[in-house]
Amino acid sequence: MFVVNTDSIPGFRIVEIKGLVQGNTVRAKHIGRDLAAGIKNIVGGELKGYTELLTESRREATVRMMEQAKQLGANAILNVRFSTSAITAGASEIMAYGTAATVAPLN
Amino acid sequence: MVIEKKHLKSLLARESKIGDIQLTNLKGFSASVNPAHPVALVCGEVAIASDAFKRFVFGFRNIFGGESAYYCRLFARARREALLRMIDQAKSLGYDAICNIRFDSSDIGGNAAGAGKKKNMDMAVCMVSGTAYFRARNEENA
Repeated sequence: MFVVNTDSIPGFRIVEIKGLVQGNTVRAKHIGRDLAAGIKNIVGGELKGYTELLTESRREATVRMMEQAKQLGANAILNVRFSTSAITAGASEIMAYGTAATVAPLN
Repeated sequence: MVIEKKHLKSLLARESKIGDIQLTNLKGFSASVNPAHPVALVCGEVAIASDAFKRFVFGFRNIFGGESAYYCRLFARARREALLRMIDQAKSLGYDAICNIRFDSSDIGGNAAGAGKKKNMDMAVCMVSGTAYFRARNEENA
């Protein structure tokens, strides 16, 4: 499945727009990682645990969005956007949304 | 502060090694696309913590108001790091151009959420996404 954040895919034409699809997730890391982040907050530097948390959350949200698109019978998601919100300390909420469509090669 | 200097040094070193990759935040594809390679979504994300001393110093800045150069640099570092990670991902997949680059920030520290009694953490969280594609070379167009 094509997942892109542009509104077209070069070499392909849009056959049918299936509609808006979305996926979201709220994830947290175990307390050990939170403690490590607390210590890192004293000395500064990259919070590897939270970077990982973001990567995982984004993947999870994208996969959920793709599942929804699959149910609609789409083979591409166009104009994908990510949005985040603040829930509580140590947790990340990521929502991925885009337009599900069926695309076919130009020739 | 040592960590910041080290990070800035590594950022400079890696940025100089990016090479020939075209970055745009235009919605469409700014160069003709090589149809042999399908386009792909690439992402990069990073969370960087502030240190306790700088947070303490910012307390004074907050009284008088004005720009906080340290926090400014902190966010700039986070954006550059996330962008580099996205470029690395695109390059490892063999792409040589990224369009429609979007920057996003998040809040893991719980500052915007108002986490109540739980101690909030100062950090710059940056996510970047874009569409990677393979440029059709000029020689091929001619």
